[in-house]
Amino acid sequence: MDKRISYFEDISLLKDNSVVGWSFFWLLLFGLVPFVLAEYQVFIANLVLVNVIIVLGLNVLIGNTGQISLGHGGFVAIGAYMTIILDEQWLPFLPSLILAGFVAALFGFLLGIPALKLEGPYLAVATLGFGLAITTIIGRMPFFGGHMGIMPPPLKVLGMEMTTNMDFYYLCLIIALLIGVFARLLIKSKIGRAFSAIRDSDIAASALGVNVVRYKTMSFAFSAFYAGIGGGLWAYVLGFISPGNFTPVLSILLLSMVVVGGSGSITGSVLGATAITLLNLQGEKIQELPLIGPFFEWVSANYMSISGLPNINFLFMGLTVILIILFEPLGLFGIWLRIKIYFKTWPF
Amino acid sequence: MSTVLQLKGVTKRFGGLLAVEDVCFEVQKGEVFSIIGPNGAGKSTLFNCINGLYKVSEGSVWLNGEDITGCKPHLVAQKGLSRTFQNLELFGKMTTMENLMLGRHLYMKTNLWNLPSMLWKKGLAARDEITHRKKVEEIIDLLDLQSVRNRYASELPYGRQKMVELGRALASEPSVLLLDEPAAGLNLEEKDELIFWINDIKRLFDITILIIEHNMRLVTSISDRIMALNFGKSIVTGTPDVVTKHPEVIKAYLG
Amino acid sequence: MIGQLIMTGIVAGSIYALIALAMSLTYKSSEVANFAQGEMAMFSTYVAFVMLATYQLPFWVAFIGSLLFAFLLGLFLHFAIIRRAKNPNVLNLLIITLGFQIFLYGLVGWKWGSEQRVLKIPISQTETVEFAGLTISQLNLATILIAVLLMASIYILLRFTKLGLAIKATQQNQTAAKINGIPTKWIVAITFGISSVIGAVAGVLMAPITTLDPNMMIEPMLKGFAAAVLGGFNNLAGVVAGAFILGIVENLFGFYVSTEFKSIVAFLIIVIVLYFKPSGLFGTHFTRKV
Repeated sequence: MDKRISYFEDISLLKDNSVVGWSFFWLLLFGLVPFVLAEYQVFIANLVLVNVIIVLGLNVLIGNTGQISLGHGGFVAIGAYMTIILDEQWLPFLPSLILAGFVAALFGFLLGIPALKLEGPYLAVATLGFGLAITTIIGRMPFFGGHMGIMPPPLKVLGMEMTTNMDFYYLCLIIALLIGVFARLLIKSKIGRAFSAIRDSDIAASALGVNVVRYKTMSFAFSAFYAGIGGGLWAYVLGFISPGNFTPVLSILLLSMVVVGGSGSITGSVLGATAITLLNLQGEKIQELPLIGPFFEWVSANYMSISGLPNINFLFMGLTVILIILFEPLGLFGIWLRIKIYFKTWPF
Repeated sequence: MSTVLQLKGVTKRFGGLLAVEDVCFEVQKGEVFSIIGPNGAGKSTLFNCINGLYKVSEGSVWLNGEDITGCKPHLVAQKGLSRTFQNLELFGKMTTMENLMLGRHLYMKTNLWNLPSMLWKKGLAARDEITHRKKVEEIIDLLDLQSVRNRYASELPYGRQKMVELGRALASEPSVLLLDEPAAGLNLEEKDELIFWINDIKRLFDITILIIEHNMRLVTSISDRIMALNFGKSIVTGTPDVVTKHPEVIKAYLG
Repeated sequence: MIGQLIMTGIVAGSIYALIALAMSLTYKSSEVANFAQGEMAMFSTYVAFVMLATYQLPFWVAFIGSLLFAFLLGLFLHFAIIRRAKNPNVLNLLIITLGFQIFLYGLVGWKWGSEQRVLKIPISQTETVEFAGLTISQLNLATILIAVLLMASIYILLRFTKLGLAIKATQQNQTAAKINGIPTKWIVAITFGISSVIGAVAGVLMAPITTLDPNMMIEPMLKGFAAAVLGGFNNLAGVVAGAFILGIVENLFGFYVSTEFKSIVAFLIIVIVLYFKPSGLFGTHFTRKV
């Protein structure tokens, strides 16, 4: 018989002392990161954090609610553009960011309405079309800078001027933490259970009093909010955005982060976003890596082409996605779990 | 005695097919009311009509004196009606515990705005979760599900899955409970246990139960009244004795 | 004028129809919406290009060679990847094809670089044919004819041959087909192969118009997929109709309303259509019974 643990322990964030210890360790590690890494690497860490924020939301939609979205790039775009425009003319940064998140959420809600009746490929096309439409419309409107794109104003948070990548890092880290904790609470609560219930059997969920319409649209709005917040931060991290940043390729990358990390898990979102972002950025510059770089250069020169080498990141990402689904459907989270279990039962 | 559930001339058409035709019955509070009939007689369709999953073509459904015709399933659930399904509709990738907690969904007050209060023990959302956990533990104890509390529903053996589904429906504290073939697929021993549970539940929860069932031994031993259905039409309604002796029932069903 | 516009729409529609047909065929037999369809076609077109430009083979040899390659690529996708998925639900299968798409995109980009190439085919793009008061380039005419021919042969294959019967049986009910002695594993693999070939034909027809580069199939593929969904993914005739409707409407919209938003009008139509008909214009919707 399974032991019955205290009811609060089951939902609480920090279950026991070892969890507290580990959380503290990770927090310290993340806090020290910018002191260890070079300037450019901190920039990459910022991109990772932004993607973590977006994927946390997307994972709730895909992993927990069982929907598909190939249009999340659109919500990221809405968040990015709205934050810049609001910050430039009307509001301080943080309110702009939050408001932009809510605008994205509103669009998420609107997309959720036609998505209610759709599933599988039909839903994929509807969301894909939505993402494309958003970027096309933004790209054609001079108000949003058109094809040329726009630059965010200097970043000022609560009176502090933030200019270096390190400043951005701490801003992103704090927001990612807050948003991560919130996502975790959501999954553990009545709302998260209703999402999962819709994923497993919407008929039974409605027979038990879950308003399927409400929770499905809520899930879309929730993930769009996260994408919007991530988009707003992304704009400042990059320092310049144009519609070219928000193509369907972005949506596909985000989707693969969810799958590679492990759908329906917070740790998975973090792992997946980190892995795919690094793979994507490092793959483009594979020549610069020691040992591996010269090898691939040799292969390219003899069998493939040197000019095409920067495209190799797509090959690696595609391969990762395929291998993960073939051999580890739980994603990196599954591997993580196995490692944990291995050490718990070690040396047996 | 008061009427809890009442069907007035309920008819359901699928295109040209009459699945249920002009069915009328009343169920009194605390009764166990069974619906029998051969395969394809329209029993499950009737349940789906009551539950709001199907839109009734004609007629009306009344629950506790309120017209619930055309209500969406979640509204019907809110008004105190819960059900199980013939081919099990469990939430496979959720644990037994979470499945039962979903039964408490209606009563929980957590929403997006008070969610952060789950962080501390006295927080609104945390208290909400804890109170309802207690209720669910009671049901787990009642149905002997302790050993599978934290296992995924899809991993459980069939008999256990049926009990989890029953528990989930019970967790929503309905005034009327619809059981769609609760004994199908259970072995003899489990069937005996089921009779015992149903009697227990009736006594403990002050509940009205409607059952669709093929197993005549089970039906006659627990039902107060039985309705026989064939080709979507009600043949006879009455006590087990009356129904089992009715010539048309014998012809259509018992053979 | 309007006749000319509709004509151009039909040309675009033919390409969409081929891709839509390819996707729909595999979807019907394996529930996989194959997002890699476009990239597979692009890869096959590159194979034709290599045979033409590097090995100086005659066009027809290169063309048939690339179709053969496409067929094998389809078999590979099915046997090496899709069948091996551990947890083959709709979402995972969809994402695995997305992964294959990215993989092929990277592979082709690595091998041949991102620069644009020219695929020389013996059908002229500049010389025109006139009939019924409409002008159409030889290539466009050939595109329509080849597409129609291909669709007709698919129809004949499914309607009148033993293989077609087996494919249809597999699509209807795989278990029952297997019990009745149909090697469903191979049948599904063959549909993947056929789909891949159809896509490759579209690729070779497209390449002279858009120039050959790794991005060439992204838009046609999205449009083809959209057209398939518009027509109803599980109805082959509907899928083709959806493709032509999309091609024509898009062209008319581009001329009369706005060229700028031409590329997204397709998706707006689809979202609206799906809102009212969740399974497309001609598709059938299955509701789950409880």
